[in-house]
Amino acid sequence: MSQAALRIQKISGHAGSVAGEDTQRQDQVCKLVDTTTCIGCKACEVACVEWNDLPFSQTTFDNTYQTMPDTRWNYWNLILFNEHEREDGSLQWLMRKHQCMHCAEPGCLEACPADGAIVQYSNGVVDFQQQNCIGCGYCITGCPFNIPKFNSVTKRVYKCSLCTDRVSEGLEPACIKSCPTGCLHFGTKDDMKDLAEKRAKQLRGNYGFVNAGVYDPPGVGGTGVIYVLHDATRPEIYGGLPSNPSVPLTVKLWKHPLKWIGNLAMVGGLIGLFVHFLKYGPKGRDEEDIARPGGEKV
Amino acid sequence: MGPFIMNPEGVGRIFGPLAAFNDGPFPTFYEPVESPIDNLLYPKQTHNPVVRRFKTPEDKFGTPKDGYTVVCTTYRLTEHYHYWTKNNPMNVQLIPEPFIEIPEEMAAEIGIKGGEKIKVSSIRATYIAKALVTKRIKPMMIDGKKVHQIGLHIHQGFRGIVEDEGKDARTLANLLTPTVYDPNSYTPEFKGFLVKVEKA
Repeated sequence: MSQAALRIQKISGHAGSVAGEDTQRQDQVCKLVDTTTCIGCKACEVACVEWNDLPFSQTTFDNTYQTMPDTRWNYWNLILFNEHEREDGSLQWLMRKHQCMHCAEPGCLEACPADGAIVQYSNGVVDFQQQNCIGCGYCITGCPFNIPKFNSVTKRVYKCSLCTDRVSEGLEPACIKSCPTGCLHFGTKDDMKDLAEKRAKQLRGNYGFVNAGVYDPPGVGGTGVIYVLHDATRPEIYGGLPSNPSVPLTVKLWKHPLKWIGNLAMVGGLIGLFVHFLKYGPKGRDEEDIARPGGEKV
Repeated sequence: MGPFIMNPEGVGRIFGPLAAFNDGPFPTFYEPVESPIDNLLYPKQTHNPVVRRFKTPEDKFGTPKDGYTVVCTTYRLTEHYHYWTKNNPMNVQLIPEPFIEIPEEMAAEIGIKGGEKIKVSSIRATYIAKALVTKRIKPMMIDGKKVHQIGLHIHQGFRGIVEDEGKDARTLANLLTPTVYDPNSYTPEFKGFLVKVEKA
C-alpha cells in the first residue's frame, strides 16, 4: 500500500466531480479488533496519543478502569470496560476499543457542508481535513457512533485518522503496532473479514460462545474497523455499540430530498422573478419618495 | 513401565537437599502470617515457622479477634510501572488516582457508592482512597464464614503529579502490608493480609 492508495474518492460538500474517481485500484484497508483477546492494557490508547502528538487530557477516577467516559477531540481511541452478567450468573469483563469505524458510507461526510473538510480515500479511510473545517458540527449529528469531537478553542472537529501518515507509507496504524496480545490486526478488508470469520467460527465451535460473530454493520455500508464479538446478537453490551447503525434520517432527508426541493424552490423563485419582470417591467419610482423633504433616498 | 526409565529404581526422585530450603526439603501449605482462619492442615502451626521477620515495635500483626476481618491484596496495573510513572502525564491520564477495589456486596454493607472515599486500616497503618465497586470480586466462603476480599494498587502515593496537586493522600500502599519475608526467596508477603474497611 503506497501513496497511490491515498487518492480521494469522496469529498464532503463538493459540487463538481471528484478528480480521478474510479480510475484507482480499489484496495480497502481494515482494522480487525478481536474483543475476545483484549486484556484492557490501554497500550493502543497511549500509542495513539504518542503517534498523533495529542496533548494530555485531565482525567479523574470514576469508579472504573476506563480512562474517561467518552473519546475527546484529543483522545481518539478509548477502551470501554463493561462488567456484564450473563443469564447463567457468570461474569464477563468486556473490553472494546472505541474509535472511528471508517464507514464505507460515512454519515459525517454525508452531513458535512464544507467543501473538502471530510474526505474518503480510495483505501476506505475517512479523514478530516481541519484546514477546510468550518466548525459547524454537523458531522457530530451525522455519526451513528458518536465519534467526531469539537474543540472549542480551535473551532474544529477531530477524530481518528487511521494513521494515514503511517498507512500511506505501508505501515500499520500505531494502535495495531502497540497491541501486545495480537487482538488487533490490520490488512485488506477481504483478508480481515476472512480472519474474523475464522476466529468467530473457532469461538462458536471450540469455546462455547454460540452467538460469536463478526460486527460489520451493513447499515453504513460496512466499516473499516470490524469486531469479533463473543455475542454478536447483542453488541449493545459492549458499551453501547449500535446493533444496526445508520446515518440519521434527518441528515438523509436534508442532504437528498430537502436539498433538491430547496434548490427547486430557489430556481423557481428566480424564474418567477424573471417572468414577472417580462410581464410588468421594472418597478417605477413612487411619487411619495420624490416628494420627501430634502429629496434624500431612503 | 513408568516414564522414569533413566533411574535404576524406575520411579521418579525429588531433589530436595536440606541445605537448599530453610523450611525443609518438601513444600507444604501454610496460611499467611495474617490469616482469617487457622491452618486446616496443621491446626497447631498456622503459618511458616521460619518466616523472616523484623523485630521492631512497628512489626505488628493483626488477627480477626482484633477486628481485622477483611482480606486485602496489593497488585500492579498494566497502566503503570512501579512508582516511576506517577510522574509521567501519559500514564497518569490512564489511571489518575489510587483506588481500592471492593465487592458490590461489601459496598452495600458499609453504605458507600463507587467513587466515594473509604479508609482501609491494617494494624500498621491506614490508607484512604476512592472506592471502585466491582462485580468481579465476590465474597469468599472460608470454613463456613463469609470473608470479603479487597484489593488496591501500589502505584501512587508520596509524590507524583496528582499528589503534588493535592488530589491524593500521599500514603503508600506498602505502609499497610506486613513486614514478613519468605525464608528462601525473601519475597515479601504483600499479597495477603488483614484489614478493616470503613467509610472515610
